[in-house]
Amino acid sequence: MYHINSQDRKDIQGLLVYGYAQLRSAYFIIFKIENVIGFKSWLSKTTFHDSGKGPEGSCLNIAFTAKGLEKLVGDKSKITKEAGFDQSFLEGMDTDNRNRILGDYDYNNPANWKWGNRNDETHGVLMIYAADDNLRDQVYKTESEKFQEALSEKYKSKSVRLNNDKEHFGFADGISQPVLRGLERKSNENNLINPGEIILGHLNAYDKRPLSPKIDGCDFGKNGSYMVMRDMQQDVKSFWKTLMKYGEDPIRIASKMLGRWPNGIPLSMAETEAEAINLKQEKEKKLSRGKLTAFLNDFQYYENDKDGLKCPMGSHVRRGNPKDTKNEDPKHPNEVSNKHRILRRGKSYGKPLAESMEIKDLIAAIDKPDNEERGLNFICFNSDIKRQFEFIQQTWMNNMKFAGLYDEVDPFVGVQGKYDKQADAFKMLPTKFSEPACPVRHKYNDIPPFVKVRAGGYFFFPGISAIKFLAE
Amino acid sequence: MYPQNAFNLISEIADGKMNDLRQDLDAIQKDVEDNPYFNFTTIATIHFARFVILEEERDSFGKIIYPAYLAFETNYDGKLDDHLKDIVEHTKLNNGFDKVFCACKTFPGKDVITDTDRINFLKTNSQFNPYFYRGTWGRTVLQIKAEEETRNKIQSHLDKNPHQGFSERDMYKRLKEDVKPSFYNTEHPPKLSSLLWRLSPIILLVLFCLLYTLVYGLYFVLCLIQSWYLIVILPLTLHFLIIGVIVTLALTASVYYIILRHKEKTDKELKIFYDPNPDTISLKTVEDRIVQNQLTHLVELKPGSFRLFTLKMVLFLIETFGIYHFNKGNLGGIPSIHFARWIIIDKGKRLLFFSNYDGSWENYLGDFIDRAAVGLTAVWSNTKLFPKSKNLIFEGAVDEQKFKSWTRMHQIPTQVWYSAYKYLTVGNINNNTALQDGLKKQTVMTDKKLKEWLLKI
Repeated sequence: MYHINSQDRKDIQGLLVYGYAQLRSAYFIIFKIENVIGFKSWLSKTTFHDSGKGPEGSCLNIAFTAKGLEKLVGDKSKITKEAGFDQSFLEGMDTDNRNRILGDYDYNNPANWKWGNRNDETHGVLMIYAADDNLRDQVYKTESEKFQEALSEKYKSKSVRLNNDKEHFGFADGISQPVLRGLERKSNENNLINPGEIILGHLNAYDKRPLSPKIDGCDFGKNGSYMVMRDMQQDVKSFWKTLMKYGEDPIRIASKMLGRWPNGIPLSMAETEAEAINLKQEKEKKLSRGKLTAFLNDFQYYENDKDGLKCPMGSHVRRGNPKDTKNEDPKHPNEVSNKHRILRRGKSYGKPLAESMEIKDLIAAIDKPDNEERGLNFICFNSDIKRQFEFIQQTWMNNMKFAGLYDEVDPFVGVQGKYDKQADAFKMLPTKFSEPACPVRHKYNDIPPFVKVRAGGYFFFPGISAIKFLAE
Repeated sequence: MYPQNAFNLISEIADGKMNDLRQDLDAIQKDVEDNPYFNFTTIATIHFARFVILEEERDSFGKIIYPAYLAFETNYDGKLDDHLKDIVEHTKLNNGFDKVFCACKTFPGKDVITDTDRINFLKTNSQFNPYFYRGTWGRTVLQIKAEEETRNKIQSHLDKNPHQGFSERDMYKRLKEDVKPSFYNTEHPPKLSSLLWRLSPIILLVLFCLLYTLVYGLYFVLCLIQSWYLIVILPLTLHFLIIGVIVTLALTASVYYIILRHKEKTDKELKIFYDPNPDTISLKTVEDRIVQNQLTHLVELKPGSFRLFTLKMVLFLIETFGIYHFNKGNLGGIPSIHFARWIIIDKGKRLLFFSNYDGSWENYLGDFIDRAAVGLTAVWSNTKLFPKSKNLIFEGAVDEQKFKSWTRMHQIPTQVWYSAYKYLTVGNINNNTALQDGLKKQTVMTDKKLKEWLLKI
């Protein structure tokens, strides 16, 4: 019923299924189509990697904004909700209402974005992945010679692979991921979601097929997905400076805010960082890479941690996927929260503050002069943007009242805003963080923003046959 | 008599008054907490209030099907008479009351209008029977605010004074010494057992009928076998009535079920998976400004008295369960509704729904589907174009995309909306009461209870 057959697999672009962790180098090229005929001819001659076989050497993937599809199809009236396109995708990331719920105001104001705001003509993103920098540059050179007449590059982001699969603050990244039913990967039952939650044309969490676009009789949406991209700039120095202020053990407090120890071990599996390091080493010896990830996601909240004494309610990982925090149905503990999952495929950019990515080295470097812009190109896939990506950002990350809390948002990506009557606009307030403890909670006040949104957009990530349709 | 109640006025708007009314309502909404005309903040008994214009509807020949109405609702504490007096008292300054309500056809057209006239106007235009749900049972606005203040005192005490290394008992003692709780007592909701007690005559009657049928049936069969005709005829005439009633009830239920299934199979449903309402963008513009949100929803019933009867029966059951069972801030599993009500208007032709809830629309609708689909399918499957239901309570709302599209399609703008405690969720209010109760406690808490209480801070 949920099986994705080999024909479908060959139709799904490779990034979605494989994630390309082993392709260390990538370019994300935000482009504008200058010449439709030229672009179509390039599109028809180019091979985009599909999920039929694993990646080798280098891979190309592509996604389009609503403006880009309008340009290629040449008829605005075909790219509409009536045709079956997602409403959020059609409107784009930068609208007044969406700014308010996503927290894109004040320091995140889209007016200052590198690309993707409402006045900007972004038509799509071309993603080049390769095993190393040389190969990537070589592929880029060959392709750009072919498409140079057809499109103009608005922005090019070069990815970086940080030591030990970490992100810039020093924590292991990309662990919390749902597993798709029918893709033959092992996972614990609570972490499985139906393929239609991510891939159009398949059954979703309600056992229905998600709204999927059709153009001129072509099943355009089939095996495609909606891709959300956000350029999130990280202020690593300010992060560790602030944490040093809060006490003797900044790594412990930062881990409480994140919900995992720096090496990715969940807080509920280890009381101290030393314990977490031992546990990880022990498991790394025994388990394959895939099984290790499954192990790191194999924990629940209600039974052992319902009050957040181990993993605080307000921590990033718990907010991002609350699992059975509310304990509504012990038989299907994660059923409700699993209706709001996303498949993350982001990559970091910018030189790290310390090459080793060890937190002690990052802390040692906080006073070093450095103007490097660093952050994460957040990429995620979902089939219903408002029920998945936007829901997580609004109802979990930016929600001051999440899981019984009163007055705090996600310490990493949340934005705590208040309507300012005089300015008729939302203003950002510093947030707080409560850590449940004995005898009473610890509270960390005046947390400044560590992450700023610098660009973003909603894309359609077509299946291979839909790409062929666009090229005609 | 319950501690919190619902007032709803719905009155036809007089010809030529619409434009002024819109402007006045806009002016009130612009500064809903501090406007000179209708200052809700000064009316201390109001939890939530709203003004809504129900727009006129015409058929394709231009004939009016439904005239334009002004709807005004409040969720208030105490007795109706006191509440209406309160409203009139606090809104006649700057002529606010008359300015708004003079748009109604039935507003007294005299030169000098007295407070009695105003109260009478409110009363005569509010003869509706709302089906009402209360999320924060038994707490007045004053209590909710006082308990929030106590919590803030606890927080600032903890922020200012170190507490590392304290034992749990010491911590509790410290807080008890330094923070004075408010003096409000929570009025507790009636228990489910009291409903059973009230229903006991009916339950007994039903049991009696069942037992009777069984015993009498056996007796009858026995008589037939033994051919004791005379003994059969006597009790038969005597008890014919009871048997008749039982058979009629069973037949009615079967006929009802057959009609229901037939209607469910043939009723039209919404076929689209996207939100077709062009006004949704403006609905979204006023959403997510404070912690709570409001929903006003207006939809036509399916024609015929069958649907009207079913709807009334379902709403009655929901209201009753709301009072006796779902009275801890949790309507059928939804933990985020402060108050909600259904009103049947236009002589049974339309269903109006008002709700005050926490968090985002997407979350609220998701809760509807994941936790309360049965109840709301039973209600709204009696209205037009609702996604196909089965046996009254199944399917329907579970069809997520269609259900969300259908809801937005019938959602209408709320011109004025006021909340007395705009930064508190139902969860916060419940938690504040628990904090309060712990602080007031005269007896010694067990270690486990004390730990649980400290975690609520």
